[in-house]
Amino acid sequence: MKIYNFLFYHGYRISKNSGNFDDFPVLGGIQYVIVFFILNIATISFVLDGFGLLEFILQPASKYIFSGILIIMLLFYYSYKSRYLQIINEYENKNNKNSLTYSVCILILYLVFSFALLLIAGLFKNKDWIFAN
Amino acid sequence: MHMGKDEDPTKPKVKPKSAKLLIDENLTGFGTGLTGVSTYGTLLEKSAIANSKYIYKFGTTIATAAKLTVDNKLFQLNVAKYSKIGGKVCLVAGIAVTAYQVTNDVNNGKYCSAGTRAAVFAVALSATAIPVVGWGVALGIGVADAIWGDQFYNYVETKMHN
Repeated sequence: MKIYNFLFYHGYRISKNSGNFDDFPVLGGIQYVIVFFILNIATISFVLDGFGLLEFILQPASKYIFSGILIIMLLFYYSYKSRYLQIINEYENKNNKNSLTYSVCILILYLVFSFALLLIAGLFKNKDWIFAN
Repeated sequence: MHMGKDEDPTKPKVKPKSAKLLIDENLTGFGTGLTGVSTYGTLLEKSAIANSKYIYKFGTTIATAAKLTVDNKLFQLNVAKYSKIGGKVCLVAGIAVTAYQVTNDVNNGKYCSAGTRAAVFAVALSATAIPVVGWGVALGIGVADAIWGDQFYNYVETKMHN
């Protein structure tokens, strides 16, 4: 969860700067975390599916339930006893001199990295490209 | 069974699609719709705040009318507050659904489509971080995506994959 807390902090900084999430600040960070969470879960599922250990869990029938439960879980995790404030304070104390561009770069890099991993896992699962044999 | 004049008996009957099927076919559009709800919530709140700051030049002399005006303003502000928060939860739900669509494309072997969808999605997500006009930009990208998205992604998939 440490990596997601780190991403949450940077997402929160960007959202705070825009002012669009001032009334519900925890959502500003969650909107980025949830994307990475879904991409990473799908990557792990694809790899397990590729090895024949597990069927891909995100079946069409369960997607809305899955998304809903994920949002509730993340909201609960970050809102419980104002945990998000503790996380923000922790990272603010560590590196309060970083610019906003740094946060944007972190999120873009992680998105590109997650998507690349997802693609490779998908190719492995579907036995395409270099995994064809 | 009664058959109308315009009905062609040789033509196969097309069963109308259910709402669930339409949502399943266009997940990105569904996500965009949720983003639209969020944007509407923001606009509603701004409108309510502007209304609540309005000062009547001629004053209201009847006490009940004055109370009604105050109550209306409070009610509008409350509606705006909760619709805005609800709208933002919908925005995150829309993001989750769109992210799911990307993974679904990869699962179905539509790698080019997934890449393009992820790029458009990243631009729309980044747009929400733009102060003041961010919502409008994100909504514009989302609406365009909902209208022409499927055509565009199919085009990219057929052109680039082959």
